[in-house]
Amino acid sequence: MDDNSVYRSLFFEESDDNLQQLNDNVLELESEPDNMDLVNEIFRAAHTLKGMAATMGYDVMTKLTHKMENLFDFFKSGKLKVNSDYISLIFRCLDRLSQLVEDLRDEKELSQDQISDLLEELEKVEESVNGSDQAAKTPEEEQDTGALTNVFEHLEEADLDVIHQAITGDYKAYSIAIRIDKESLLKGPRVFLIMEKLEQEGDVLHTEPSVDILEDGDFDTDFRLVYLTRDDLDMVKHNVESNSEIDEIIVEPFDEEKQQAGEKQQAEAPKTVEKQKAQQKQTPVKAAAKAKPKTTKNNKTSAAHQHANARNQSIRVDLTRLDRFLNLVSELVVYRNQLDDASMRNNADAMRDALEQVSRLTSELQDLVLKIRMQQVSVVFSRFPRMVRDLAKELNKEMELVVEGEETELDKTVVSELSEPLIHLLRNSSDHGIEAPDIREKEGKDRKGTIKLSAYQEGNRVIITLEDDGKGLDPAVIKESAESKGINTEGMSDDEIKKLIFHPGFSTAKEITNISGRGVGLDAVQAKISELGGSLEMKSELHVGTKFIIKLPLTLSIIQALMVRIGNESFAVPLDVVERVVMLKENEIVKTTNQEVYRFQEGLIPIIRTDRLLQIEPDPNKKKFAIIVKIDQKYYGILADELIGQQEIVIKKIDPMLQKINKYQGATIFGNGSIALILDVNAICNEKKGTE
Amino acid sequence: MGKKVLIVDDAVFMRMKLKDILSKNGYEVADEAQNGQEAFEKYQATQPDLVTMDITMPEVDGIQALKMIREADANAKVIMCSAMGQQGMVMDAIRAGAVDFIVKPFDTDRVIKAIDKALS
Repeated sequence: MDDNSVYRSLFFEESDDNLQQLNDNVLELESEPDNMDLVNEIFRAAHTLKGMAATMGYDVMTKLTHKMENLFDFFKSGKLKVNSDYISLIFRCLDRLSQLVEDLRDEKELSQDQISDLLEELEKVEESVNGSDQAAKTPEEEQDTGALTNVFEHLEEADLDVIHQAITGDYKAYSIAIRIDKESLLKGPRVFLIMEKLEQEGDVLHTEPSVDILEDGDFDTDFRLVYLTRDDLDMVKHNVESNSEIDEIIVEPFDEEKQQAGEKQQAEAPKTVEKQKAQQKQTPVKAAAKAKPKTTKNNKTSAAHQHANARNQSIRVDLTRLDRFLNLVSELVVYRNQLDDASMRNNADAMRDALEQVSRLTSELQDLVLKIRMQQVSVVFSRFPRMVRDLAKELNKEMELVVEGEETELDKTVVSELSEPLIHLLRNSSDHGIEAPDIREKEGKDRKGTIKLSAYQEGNRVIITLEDDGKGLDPAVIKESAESKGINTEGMSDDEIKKLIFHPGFSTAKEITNISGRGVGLDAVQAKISELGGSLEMKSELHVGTKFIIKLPLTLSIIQALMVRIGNESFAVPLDVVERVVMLKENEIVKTTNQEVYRFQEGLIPIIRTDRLLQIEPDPNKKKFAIIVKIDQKYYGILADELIGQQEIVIKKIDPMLQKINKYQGATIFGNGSIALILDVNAICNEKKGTE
Repeated sequence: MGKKVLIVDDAVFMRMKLKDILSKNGYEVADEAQNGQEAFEKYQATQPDLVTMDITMPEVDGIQALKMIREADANAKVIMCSAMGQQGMVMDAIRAGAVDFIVKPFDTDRVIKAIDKALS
């Protein structure tokens, strides 16, 4: 067997693409069922998918794709009309295929059971189209075993006459028997090709089985024919042999006597032949069943080898960006050489010039690398129209998803983490936001609800908004629900009450549906977004709709940070959580029973003594600063001895062991080569909250 | 020097696979094309000894490309690559002058035998 591991990553990438394309196109097909171009496009994508799966030896996946493709074939030939039942079935197949691809990616073995339900359904559809036609055909297929023979079973008088006539001219008659490779696929066209080649040099007079059966491929491996030509024996042989996938051939001058003798023999022995056939038909099935576990085992061992590179993440890069990258690097090399040269000659001016260029190039390179890591949000968004469609069906609502700004780019890590929270929000909007069509009509709205998902860049942040024109949040309902859950809402403004939906364990759904409200609340969404360094806001107006605004950093690997000194150590505090910095005196820190607080604005905020927390010797002579950070709507004051300044820093990963102590997000390297740790403010403050 | 083969397929995966099979068996890959139009242009440019042509491709499909190539060069040797279930199209291709066809999934031996035969 070929070693397919090299192709694995490519296979996954292209499978993902093809599945996505199928999803998109099938969705489109539902609204334009007569668009034949679309059907062809779908057919092609399914076909490519099947071909790839088959080449990789993923039988289960191949089988499902093949059956699904048949359905598209029916659409194409007009035997089936596209309707939403079929579309739903196809979507289920696509989902299953995605699942299979995921399993393969995880090195899981696929089993036939994973697809048997869908296969059954697809077969039912097929049967309804083909009727009993197909069923009747299969058993007829004959099994050719034993020796290949060129004795014909039923040659008619008329044929013999033609042969006689031909031989008396300068033609010769040959009886040819051909056995096609057992494993040969597409036997019909194979025979057709052989005949076509023969016909170029002569005439095929008679075939057994008949030409129609042969060209449909409804035979096992053997067929016979009478061939008339001027060519001599060797040339005919050569002609037949020029075809591929042939197991065995017999080419002999046509011999009437042998033919007649054979006919008699055949007439005597039909019964035993029949019996043999029946037996043989059973054995191969058993053999195949036995062979199967073996092959899967083989796959497993080879799969284990491939494990190392299984989750090898890859990214597609626009070629022009890569070219620019190369250009910049080659420029860099030029200036490095200039630097070399200048330093040899001790020419400070030349060195400064070259350095200037190098620094320009470095920042350009930095920009470019970040851009290369960027991915369009469409990677995530493209799944949603399909999802909203399914949700609409499930909920018996009418709704439409409008997507804007799909081409907005974000760091790959952010993009891939984004789908989960967005799905959550979308489900929320579909389930709680958009009203049932009748209710909408009564309120003077369009029966069809609209959910708008848009993305755009603003400065060095990307804003993603999700807006529905549904019923909006009703403070009264939330208040009631909150109180029944034991949350005190006294003295809260409407806005504050609305924000309660972010409270852990809060769900406004009256009954728990399987779409949203599974106990995982919006608090999970918020947590995920802040994990990505972003923020989540919500605006809602009763009867008008709800809008969620997600603000995300462009990239996770370079951040703005406030550099501080604690004792003799330098630390970085991510700037996006910093509200402000205040100078404070020791006596402004007030001790309460269990913690130290500081009066900030109207309230008291906990103070975190970083020196104690990180076990650093403080510098008693220095002034103290409190860096006020806002985490989960709460303020904390983090003490520092000295401010160094604001700086753009590159986050470097730290040892996982160090990561486990939950105080550092990473490290960064200063221009002078020294290292500063980046404080994980989130974790530190949450820990503080826990001890309260 | 091995004979030159032009590989035509819209899936990178398939092209890589074929390329691998070919180069391991002493053939030289003249070029690769990902659709029929490109195949026609690259056929003109590289004048390969043989073309492996996928049938289903976007825009210009394999059969159209086959016809275009055969029209420009009546001696062009083109092997079609097809998958199960494409009987009709394979027949069309044979009528249009394809010398042979191979069926996906590709079996290295079979591919090489077909190509050897087509070039002998």
